[in-house]
Amino acid sequence: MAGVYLHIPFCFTLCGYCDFYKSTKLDKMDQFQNVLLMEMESRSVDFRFPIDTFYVGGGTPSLIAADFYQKLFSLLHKNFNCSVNMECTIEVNPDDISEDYLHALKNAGFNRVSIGIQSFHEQDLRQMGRRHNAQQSMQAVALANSCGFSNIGIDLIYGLPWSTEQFFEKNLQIVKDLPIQHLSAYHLTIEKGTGFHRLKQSGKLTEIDDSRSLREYEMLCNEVEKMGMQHYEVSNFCLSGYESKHNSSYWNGVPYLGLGPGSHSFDGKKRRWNKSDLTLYNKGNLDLIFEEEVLSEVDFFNEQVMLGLRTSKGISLTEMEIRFPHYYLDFLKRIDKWIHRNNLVVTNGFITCSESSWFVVDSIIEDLFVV
Amino acid sequence: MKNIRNFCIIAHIDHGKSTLADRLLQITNTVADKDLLEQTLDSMDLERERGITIKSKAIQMQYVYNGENYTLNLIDTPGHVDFAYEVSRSIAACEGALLIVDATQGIQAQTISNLYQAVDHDLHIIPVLNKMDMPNAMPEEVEDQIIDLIGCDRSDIIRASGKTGLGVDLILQKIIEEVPPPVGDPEGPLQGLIFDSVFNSFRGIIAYFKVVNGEIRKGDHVKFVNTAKEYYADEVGVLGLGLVPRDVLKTGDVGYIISGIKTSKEVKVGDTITHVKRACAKAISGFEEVKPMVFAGVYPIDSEDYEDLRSSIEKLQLNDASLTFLPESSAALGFGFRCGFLGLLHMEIVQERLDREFDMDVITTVPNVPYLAYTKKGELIEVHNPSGLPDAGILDYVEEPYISAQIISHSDYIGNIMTLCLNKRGELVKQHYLTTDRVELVFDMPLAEIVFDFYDKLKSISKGYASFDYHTTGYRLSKLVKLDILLNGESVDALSTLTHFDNAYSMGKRMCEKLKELIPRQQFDVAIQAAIGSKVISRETVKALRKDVTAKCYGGDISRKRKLLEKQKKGKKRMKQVGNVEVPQKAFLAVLKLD
Ligand SMILES: Nc1nc2c(ncn2[C@@H]2O[C@H](COP(=O)(O)OP(=O)(O)OP(=O)(O)O)[C@@H](O)[C@H]2O)c(=O)[nH]1
Ligand code: SF4
Ligand SMILES: [Mg+2]
Repeated sequence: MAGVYLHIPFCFTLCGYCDFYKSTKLDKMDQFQNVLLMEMESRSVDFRFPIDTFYVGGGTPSLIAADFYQKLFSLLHKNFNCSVNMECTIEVNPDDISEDYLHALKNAGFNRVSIGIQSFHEQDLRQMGRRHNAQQSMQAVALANSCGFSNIGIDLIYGLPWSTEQFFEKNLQIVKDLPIQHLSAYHLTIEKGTGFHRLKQSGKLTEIDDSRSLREYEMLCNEVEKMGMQHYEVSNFCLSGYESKHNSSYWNGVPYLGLGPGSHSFDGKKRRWNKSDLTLYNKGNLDLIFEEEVLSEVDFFNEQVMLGLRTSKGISLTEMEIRFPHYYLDFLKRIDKWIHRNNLVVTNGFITCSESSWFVVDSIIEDLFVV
Repeated sequence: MKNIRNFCIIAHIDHGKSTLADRLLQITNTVADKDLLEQTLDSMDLERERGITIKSKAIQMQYVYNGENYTLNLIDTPGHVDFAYEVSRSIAACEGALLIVDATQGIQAQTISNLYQAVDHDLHIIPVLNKMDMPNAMPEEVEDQIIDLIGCDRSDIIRASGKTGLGVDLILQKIIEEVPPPVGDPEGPLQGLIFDSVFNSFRGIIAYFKVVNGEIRKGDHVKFVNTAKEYYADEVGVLGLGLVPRDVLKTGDVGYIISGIKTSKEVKVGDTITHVKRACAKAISGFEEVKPMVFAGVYPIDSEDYEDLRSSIEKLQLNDASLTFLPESSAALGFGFRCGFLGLLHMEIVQERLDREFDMDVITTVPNVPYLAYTKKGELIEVHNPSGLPDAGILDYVEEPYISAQIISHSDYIGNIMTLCLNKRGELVKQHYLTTDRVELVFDMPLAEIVFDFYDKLKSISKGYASFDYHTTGYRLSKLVKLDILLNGESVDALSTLTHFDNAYSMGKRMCEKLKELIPRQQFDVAIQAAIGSKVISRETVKALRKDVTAKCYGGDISRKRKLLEKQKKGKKRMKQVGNVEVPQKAFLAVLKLD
């Protein structure tokens, strides 16, 4: 099992909350596409796992014409051993998608779309600097559905300072009636280097208080449950069987190959990342574009704890015992306190974080870390 | 003997003593130019980093004047008030003093206090107006101040600069012509005055002393009068940039002795060295033990480091005899030590040296001054920590140490300074104009009031211009209470403080507010209360952490996120678990940071 991730680092305009690596210098796009195809071919030599998932993210992949993706798919099949029912996802922005475009994407080989909707309210979209309006938010899903996509995911953002719980609730009510199989709902985080961060520093934007955050989170969990979706990772929900296989592979320690500037790869032993530098990338010297680090036993242990507790599947005790015999006993001692406080639960040999405790899971993870 | 001159350099902090010493070392070729640093004598790392002198340094120079060879023993002294005792010991070993005054600053508090000490010991004073190279030097004005202060002629004052070397020849000339050579009886029984000691990991304790009478030879069997300990002088010598062994040190010489002394406690500054056979009739007077005036608990962060901490403090004490320590234990912090310091700077320095030289991560608790508690039965108990205060039931009364605080400032700030000092329970005892716009104020004040934030406040209300010096004067009756801090209902002994009743309420309130800032949010509410006895006088709550989660954790986030959480966890390792509450190191010193 393995995945391939492609990072398309271009956006038409920038959103205030976003800290992905991206650029608005669209004139660099052509050369980028050339290098990307070259990188795919070259990296495939060493990455010999069978491919189960393929994911194109960004940035804004929907800025690129569909025939490019056609080329990409043929190269993918030529160079990798792709499984028959490979999950192939593309992230799209609501205002980029037309019927033709979606059909073309589908024909190219995508069988899953992830739509960056974020909100159905005009004010939210404007404040966040999204290019699309509320109506486009509403129509995007219907369009994807009518074009034959049967695995549709959308993104929402909550915890918005200018908004209210009621507005978020309305967003959830709208979601309820949409033909989607997957929902990613992220609490707004103001990251360094973003437009929002600058606003925050100049006092023009203040994060909402914890208690409102928690209420919105609880509302989210409740409403989504009513929709029949499962909460399978801190910020991810889906109908049964519609987990994002690609993203799940990040959490399950499955190898993945990242292509494009700012993308990350993992081969089971080391983590490698392409530098977030489009200019360098476009020079096409593939030996110079990445850095890597080999993970130590402690690094693996901590990753396992961190990723495991964020998913509903949890951490397998058996696996911990086998992989980390030196740390296992101490680990058992340390989870005890959290089990007593009802933050962690052990069932069938797996430790999981309860849904209500996911909202403070970082402190739990930190406590269980070995440093 | 007639060609020996012993002198020290005294001044207010930062007026340029060590820099001027550089110039003297240079002109006398004592230190080769290549070995000369800025403030060469400030040899400790901490001194170099902070740019201050902590320990006095003695060094011998040779100088030819009018065709004659002179031996000049120089002692550079620290300026900070915490180390005032270093100055007094140095003064005792000299016949003359260079009184340095910064020409841009004028006379300051320590200028006066150090001058008085020197005059008390009959030292010949050579006034030096330093930093004359600076554009904002005010030579006439500062000369007027000096003339007023010591009653000299204007022509007696040397205009100098430690930067450019201006006046340095003249300084040497005056030292030779005006400072009297040491007097003493070269034939008499040995009397050596110990004025400092240092620890050297190869040689053990090295005591610095001045031969007041008689002579001492390598191998002599000697005795330290006050400690009554006997030694053989394995090595004696003079102090160059390093140790320079000699066969004999004669009357008037300043030098060192190495005699297999194990601990700094055996070497009392001010003690007298004499021969076992043919001992001197009596010790040199003026011997006084340095008394720590600030006490604080020092605890290892990791309780397993207790023994390491003990040996580290012991080692520190080897060359810092003014540091005292006794084992102490705390319910919150485990086993540690109650350490005595000369003042807050000294405390800070000890903490920093523990960290830097011994890699000891420690928690320092709220400092307090020593109190005298008298019980109803008439017993006297010296109280060095809050838990040492006897129960109200048996306690009769308490006395606290008082100081005489001397403040010198531009007269514009008199009002502010008066308000500050009166609020600190001070009583004005003297107000004296040094010049038309510079005033000297003297207050009687409780030492406890200046230990905390007095100096910073004084600086800020006087725009940095006021200078301050103090010496302890004795004990007075005090209305002392023990202020306790409770976290989630549990009293945390390490956060208790002793305070005057009048300050207790505002202190309790501010403590709670400060702790609220310093204690990170946890998985549950943390109630912070201040109480006197069973009476709660203030309360704050640190609300439980309700949200602590990263929204996204995909391929590119994993490493970064893991490292971030690892770093946070490392940070928390420095916290102390008190009951179920995690308390950061710095919270234990919160009281020092109250605004
Ligand atoms: N311009 C100028 N600066 C000087 C002169 N003498 C000293 N300084 C500066 O003043 C500061 C303090 O000098 P030090 O020689 O360390 O003063 P000190 O009196 O030994 O200080 P303490 O030992 O801490 O009391 C340093 O930054 C020196 O560089 C001088 O003659 N001219
Ligand atoms: S949120 Fe999407 S569209 Fe907006 S800046 Fe980020 S990558 Fe670009
Ligand atoms: Mg100095």
